[in-house]
Amino acid sequence: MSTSSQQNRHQILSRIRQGLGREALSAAKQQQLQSAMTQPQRNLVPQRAQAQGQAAIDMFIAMATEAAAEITHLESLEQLPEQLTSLIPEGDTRPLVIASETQLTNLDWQSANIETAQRVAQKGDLISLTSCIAGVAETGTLVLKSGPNSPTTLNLLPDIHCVLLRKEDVIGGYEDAWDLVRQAKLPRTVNFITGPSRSADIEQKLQMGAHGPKRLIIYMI
Amino acid sequence: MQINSPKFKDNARIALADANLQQALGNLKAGFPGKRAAAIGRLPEFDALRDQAQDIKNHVIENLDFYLETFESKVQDNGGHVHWASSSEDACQTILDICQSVGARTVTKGKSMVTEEIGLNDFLEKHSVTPVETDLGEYILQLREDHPSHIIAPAIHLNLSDVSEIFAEKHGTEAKHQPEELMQEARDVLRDHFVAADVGITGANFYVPETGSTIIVTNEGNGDLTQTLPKVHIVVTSIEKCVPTLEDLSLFMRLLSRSATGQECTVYNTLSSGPRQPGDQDGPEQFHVVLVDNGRSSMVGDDLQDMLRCIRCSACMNHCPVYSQIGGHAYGWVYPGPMGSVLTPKMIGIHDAGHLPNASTFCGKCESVCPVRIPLPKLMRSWRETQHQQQASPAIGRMAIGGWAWLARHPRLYKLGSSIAIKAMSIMAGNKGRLKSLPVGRGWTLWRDLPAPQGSSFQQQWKQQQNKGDKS
Ligand code: SF4
Repeated sequence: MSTSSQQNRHQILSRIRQGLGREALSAAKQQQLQSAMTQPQRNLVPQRAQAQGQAAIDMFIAMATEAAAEITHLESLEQLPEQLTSLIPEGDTRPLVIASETQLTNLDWQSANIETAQRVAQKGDLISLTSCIAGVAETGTLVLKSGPNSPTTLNLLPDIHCVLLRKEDVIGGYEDAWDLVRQAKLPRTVNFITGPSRSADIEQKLQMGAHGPKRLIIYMI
Repeated sequence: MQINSPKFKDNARIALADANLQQALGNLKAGFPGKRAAAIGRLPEFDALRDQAQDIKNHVIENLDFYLETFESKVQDNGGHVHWASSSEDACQTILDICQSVGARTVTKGKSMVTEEIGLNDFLEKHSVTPVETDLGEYILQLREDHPSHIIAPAIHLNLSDVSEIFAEKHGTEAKHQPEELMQEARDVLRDHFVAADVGITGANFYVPETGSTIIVTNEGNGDLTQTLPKVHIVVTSIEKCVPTLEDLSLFMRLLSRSATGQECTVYNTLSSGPRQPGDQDGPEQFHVVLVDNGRSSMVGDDLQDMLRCIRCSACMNHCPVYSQIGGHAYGWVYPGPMGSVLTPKMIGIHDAGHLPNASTFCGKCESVCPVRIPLPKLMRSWRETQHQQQASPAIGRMAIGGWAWLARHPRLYKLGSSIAIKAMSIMAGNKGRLKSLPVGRGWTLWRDLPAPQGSSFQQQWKQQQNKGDKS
């Protein structure tokens, strides 16, 4: 930190304390606030964010669809390659960029005649395929974590983002998602994604496909 | 940004006569309020969430020093850097230093009102670093050398034809007339910038001390590309944007999207916690947070403290009868509408921004929709009091108030005066009971008639009531 940053820090903190009419908090008070942070209490969780089981799945589907995500139901994971072929325009040789997770890489892409690549997404990529850690029912939101096998660019750069979601991973509310995130080391990025990218910046008319994916397709098994 | 607030009255007059602007503002009125109401209608707990949000934010302010220090140390634990900036100049210089330390020539930017506040783009350009706005609205404005007129819908003052013209001119392409074609064109042009940029700068809607994270909330995905592709990510945010824990964040996510655009959830809510981690194949190598004060710390403990709860959702301006008639530019600086009328005088001085807290009918709509229940009319009134005390309000107004105060302290004279005035006004009004013009107050009667006082005065009625009370 530069000296000026340090001086500013000192200035800002003292002005705040002056405004509050006190010195820095006592060690005991700091301890109390710390532990409130390490064992965070939930605030009011809306009823609909407490849905579970089939009710949560139904709500997830309804809300995600409302947010313009597309949902395809699969009986088994093995059906996925076949499903994806319909997305690739004839003669398009661009590879399908997939997250390097064995459940995805082990699928029989060859029989479906799909060329895959395991890498970060690049400008010009058409389709990416990733998994997610959860689907949040209350708003039809997908939760994705960054990591060595799940580069964030896959969620953002390609025109079509395909996401595998297992029904058992559908949860009620955002709070449940944070609980899942807290189970492991905090990743660099957690993406909450609700539908494909959009903008209403021209005359407040909603257009799909701004800078992120133009289509978000959720494969549910 | 140049300060045009002293010319508020002229700005407003011009805005009212500007047919293009009026057409564009029609889109605002037709959109946000209805969508917000519909979204809230589907969440019965909304008002209870607002109460909790208000409490959390008050708690944050009471312990802001603690949360700032905790956030700083968590960011450092995550491998990031925190920089403290007291003023706009400090913030701009800090950001420039980081850019120069990696030899940056171009930087991409996500939408950020704090960077507007500190005048970052001009500063960077002056020092040979080219900023490229990537939010569609902000990008359009940058091409036009224009400024946002709304905090979440920056180009709301423009129409399709404005966008069409500027794209054709600056991109050297044939003019397009469909919004989706224009958006595709911007998408194509900006892809190259995203990939080429050395540094990505975003704001933050919130920061979380629990985890040392910052959060951006966008619909386009531009903010995410801005912060993921370049080598360096700089987050520019202000000291009050704290929500202590991820649990609190959940609550604020529920409030923000519904209050702002009326969406159930904004498309991208992204939590960033530091630079890329071992094994990560993408993401920035450096993560910097610039904490901007710019007068906020001196709001702690003063009349404006409640304003530090603001989450910049824009509901107050979306519902404001003044904003929706004149648009954001008339306010003459970065923050428009009711929240701007409270903040701007603090940031540029009441001398220059004196008109803003007076540009309100005090209808109270802003306070009624504010997700963190900021008493905006009360705060504007407190600025009016400051003006009166500093004798910064118009002399004629102060004389009138002084005269009234004197009369009010002399009840006999008051009664006499008011009964004469009432009689005079009913005679002038004739049998229609309405006054078409007044010797003073032409500003009122130019646009509408003034109903003449009817029946007995308040004092008389009060007396009658008291008498009745005595008898029963
Ligand atoms: S003052 Fe309230 S309504 Fe206005 S932008 Fe801030 S939080 Fe939203």
